[in-house]
Amino acid sequence: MDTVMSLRVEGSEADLDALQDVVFSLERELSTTDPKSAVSRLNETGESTFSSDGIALLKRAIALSAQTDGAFDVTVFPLVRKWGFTTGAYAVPTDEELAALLPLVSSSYITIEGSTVRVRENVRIDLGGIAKGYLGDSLRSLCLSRGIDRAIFNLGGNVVAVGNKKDGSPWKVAISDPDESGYIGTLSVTDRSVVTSGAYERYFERDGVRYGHILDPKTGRPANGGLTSVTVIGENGVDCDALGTALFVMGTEKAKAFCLANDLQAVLLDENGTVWISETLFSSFTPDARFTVEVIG
Amino acid sequence: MREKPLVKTPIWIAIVAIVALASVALTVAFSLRKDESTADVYVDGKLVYTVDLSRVETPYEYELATPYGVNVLFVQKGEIRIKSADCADELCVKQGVATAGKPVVCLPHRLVVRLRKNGEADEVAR
Repeated sequence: MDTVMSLRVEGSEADLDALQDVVFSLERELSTTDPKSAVSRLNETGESTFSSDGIALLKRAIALSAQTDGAFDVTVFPLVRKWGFTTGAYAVPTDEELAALLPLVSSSYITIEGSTVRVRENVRIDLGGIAKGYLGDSLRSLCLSRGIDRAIFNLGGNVVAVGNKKDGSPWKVAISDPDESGYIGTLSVTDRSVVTSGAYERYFERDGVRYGHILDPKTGRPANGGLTSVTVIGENGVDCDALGTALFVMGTEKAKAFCLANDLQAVLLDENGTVWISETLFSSFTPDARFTVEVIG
Repeated sequence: MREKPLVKTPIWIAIVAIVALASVALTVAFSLRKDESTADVYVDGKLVYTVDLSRVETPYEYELATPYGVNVLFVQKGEIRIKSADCADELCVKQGVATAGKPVVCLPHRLVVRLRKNGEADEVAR
């Protein structure tokens, strides 16, 4: 998945090997860059078979798209490609180019029958936005089945905490500050995924304007709703991944309302430097002194 | 009537002094915070070198020979970066200093320089 991952486990070498195997086998199925992956076949021919795990993931992605009213959508891929975020050959598309691609964006164009997935002509999907979350969930369930009750993974920025630390205290997970080298704050977590979304790591600049890689599926343009960093905390990494992206796209006010309505645990940083946190996180979040913290409510 | 300003003056001096001292203390606290991190250098996922950056007094270079090639690290108080490398693209050099959220990576040499704040977080979400 073109990123740095770290796996720390209290277990044997065999445990670590088994976990690494999961990483590589998922890469083979979910990658859009590997031409032999199921996703690449689907994008090339409009049809492909998936493993039962792959089908479950796609179904979840479609459900999350509906839940977020399309703020998260795996079919946004043609637009991501047009902006050059897949290759690094960045370009700002014209209004006409965007208008031509927007009608291809909708999860309703994906149909699933048994293990066969089809997409409408020219529709392309990218599971990159939830692949790390899915990998985290897979590693966590493998830990449970192998009796590993203490581990912490960093999958390209997605942190997965299994159990507690050796001294019995919760794992401490810091949230990176998008503007400086420090942290927004630190969370104490047990058996949780901590997933941060922001446009500060992948972006490009043209004529003094910064274009972030998280696109609003409705406009085809980089999301610009007033948030600079979104962190979602939960048991399910796929949901954290997708909902974090969706909150970023929704922007400050809609994101706060969504968190309240869905009992979502989140830490939102807006462009004025205010940190918004869910009430249920209040006792487990220690903010850095530079930030003003307000409870979502 | 003459006594009033005499009483007032020391109070103002004291307030100015307290504010001045407080800002000095804050500046010191902030600079300490910034420097309080440790760099871990991994090759092939194994820790090969670690340095508490808050304790570095004199800047130095450290030559690291990996099985894939040589990287020269530049270390100074609160900061670490790759100064030079014999890899083809030198992307690791261009990445600049490592930060807590962003490790410096030399893919051809399978080398990662990660920063962690001293005694604070186990991992960083970004």
